[in-house]
Amino acid sequence: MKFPIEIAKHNIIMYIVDSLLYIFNESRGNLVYEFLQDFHRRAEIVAIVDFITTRVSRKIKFRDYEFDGSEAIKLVMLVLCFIMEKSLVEEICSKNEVAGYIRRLDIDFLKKNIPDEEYINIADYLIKDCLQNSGIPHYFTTYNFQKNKEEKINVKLIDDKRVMIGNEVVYSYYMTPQGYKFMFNTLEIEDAMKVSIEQFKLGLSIKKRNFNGARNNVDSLFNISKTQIQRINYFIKRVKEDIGSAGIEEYESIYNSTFSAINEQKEGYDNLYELIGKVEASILESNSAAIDRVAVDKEIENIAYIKSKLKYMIGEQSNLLLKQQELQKIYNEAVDNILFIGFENRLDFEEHVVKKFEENPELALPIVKILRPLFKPGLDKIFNIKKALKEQRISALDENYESSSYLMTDRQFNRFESENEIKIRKINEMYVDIFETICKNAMLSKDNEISLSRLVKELHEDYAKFVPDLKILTNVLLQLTSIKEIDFTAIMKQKEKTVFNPSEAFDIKYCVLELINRNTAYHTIKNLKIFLSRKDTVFVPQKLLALREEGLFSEESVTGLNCPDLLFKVEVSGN
Amino acid sequence: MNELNLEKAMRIYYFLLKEGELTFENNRDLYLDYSDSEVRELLDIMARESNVTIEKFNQVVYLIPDEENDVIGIRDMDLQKVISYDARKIDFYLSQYIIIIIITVFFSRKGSFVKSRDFIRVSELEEVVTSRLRYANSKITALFRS
Repeated sequence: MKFPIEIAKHNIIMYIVDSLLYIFNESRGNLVYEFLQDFHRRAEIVAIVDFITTRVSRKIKFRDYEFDGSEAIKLVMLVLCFIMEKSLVEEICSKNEVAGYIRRLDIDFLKKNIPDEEYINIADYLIKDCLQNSGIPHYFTTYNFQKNKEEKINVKLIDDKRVMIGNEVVYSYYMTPQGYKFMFNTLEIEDAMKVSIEQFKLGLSIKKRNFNGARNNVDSLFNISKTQIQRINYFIKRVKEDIGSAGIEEYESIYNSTFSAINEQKEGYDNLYELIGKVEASILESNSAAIDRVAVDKEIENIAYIKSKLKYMIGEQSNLLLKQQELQKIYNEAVDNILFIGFENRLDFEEHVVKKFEENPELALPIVKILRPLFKPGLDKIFNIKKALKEQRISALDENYESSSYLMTDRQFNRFESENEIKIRKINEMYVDIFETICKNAMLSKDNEISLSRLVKELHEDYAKFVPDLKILTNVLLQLTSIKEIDFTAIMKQKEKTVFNPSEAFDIKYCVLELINRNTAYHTIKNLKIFLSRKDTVFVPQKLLALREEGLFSEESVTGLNCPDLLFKVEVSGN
Repeated sequence: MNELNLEKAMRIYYFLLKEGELTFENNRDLYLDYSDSEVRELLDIMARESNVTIEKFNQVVYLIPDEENDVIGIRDMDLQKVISYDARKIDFYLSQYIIIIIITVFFSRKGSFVKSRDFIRVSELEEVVTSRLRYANSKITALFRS
């Protein structure tokens, strides 16, 4: 005899089995609950929400900055909005920019009174530890009812790329297609629907001659079109990086749906372009009879704006359609390659190399053999006897020295230049910029002289050229005060004998010759004299006042150089 | 054999020696030449005779020195110089160990996914190296004791 509890247990199990059998009519392979067919697609958004809530909001470090769970989530969403905005306009979004944004938000809205130096740490933590999950891919397991198997969803909302800002290489963060999808779902509706609606709205606005509205519509269409382009480019990048992460379903969906949608949209854009052309023509026709000239001009300006955006979109989409074949080729090649390597037969590096090495340190001797194929070839250089016999020449004589290419421009600094050479070139450009600003303004002033204090006051657009960096400016001013007098004529005479060795140091001969190179007007300068004031001092701020008000970091605004005032006097021939 | 193809193959080989890899972006003409099967056959001969492999993976043609090839491939000394000119043997062995740990950290996944992570902070890498070395050391010490 069975106990009632066991009967109950048995009944429950039978019920579950029955239900499962009901859900999956396996004999036919058909799904009974049709509404579960695309369940795995819903799960993507759920996976992202799960990622943000569990991985992000529970991070203890946020509590150090007095963010509770929901505040932390809110902050993450705010940062995502910022990254999305930057990605849409394809601007660089570095950690510093995110830090500046958080700072602004904190001062204006969040009011957490976080110390200034902490913003960069928060940005770093938010991006790397939270949104990028310390570099470890995050997976969410869901169920695909169509295929009757488990599926893993990789959550990756942002990605990074290395970019150059000045001399520095930084990481710029941008939104992945998944990130866009999620962000659009939090506010806007699905992309495809949105496109047709936006196209419809734009068409209507144009017909009704509501060009202000049409301008907004075209902007939002522009953003959506951008995300589609970025989606395909990002997929190509992933296929190239690791074919394993780009599945065949995703490839098919990109290939079939995105490209066909783009094809359809392109037709829509072509029609809109035609429509706006007609409207423009009719406005221009009635233009002569128009009473309100200002309003008509405004309309024409709006039309030009809409036309340029539409033209850009049509161009971009045509390029994208060309990529269709490229994508197919890249994907097929990548699949071939991976089949060649073999999924299953791939070497388990940890098991076969690392562990063996750790067990037997003597393997350190031949380990270089494993690394050798992984490094690019490095060949021994052989002494080139022809080079030793080559005619020895002074670099300035190599080129036509009346042209602008003597000295360091093309020859020493070509496309093979190293990072250090690039740095030296940029520093030298700054030296010449400063020197030019001084000479130019002295030449243009009364009596051909100008003081440092006047320069600081009167420079506007050229200020950044004059003060690119306080250290560089200080260096130039120090050198000039010690030289006291620069004889342009003598330097010009010696120019054929000048050999310039690029370095970070300020070289007055190079500056003079390069200055004359830039503009023949400087040929008239005979000499430049520098006088040091014994009593007056001058403060040279890092940035101009107007710029400072817009700047985010107030401490930057007070940085500057305090030094004795200087007087620069040029002697010009013909005076 | 077509002389023109030999020229193309030589050009590709020389380019690969200099740059290590050939892509559509870094030399379009040579990359397109590589798609010619006779050029590839000639390159295979050159590669075989100079103990290297020339192979294309994901749109990039690589010149991969064989394990024993220290003429074209790197030598101990080259790697040692990367660390420092006065690097000791121990630094050299440790650097090799760190390189293989980096490879493991990034490409240790099994099945169809190769890449296991996108980046690692240096501090975390230090922890991984330290803990693995500590573990290896404990095992070796235990081995000597027994």
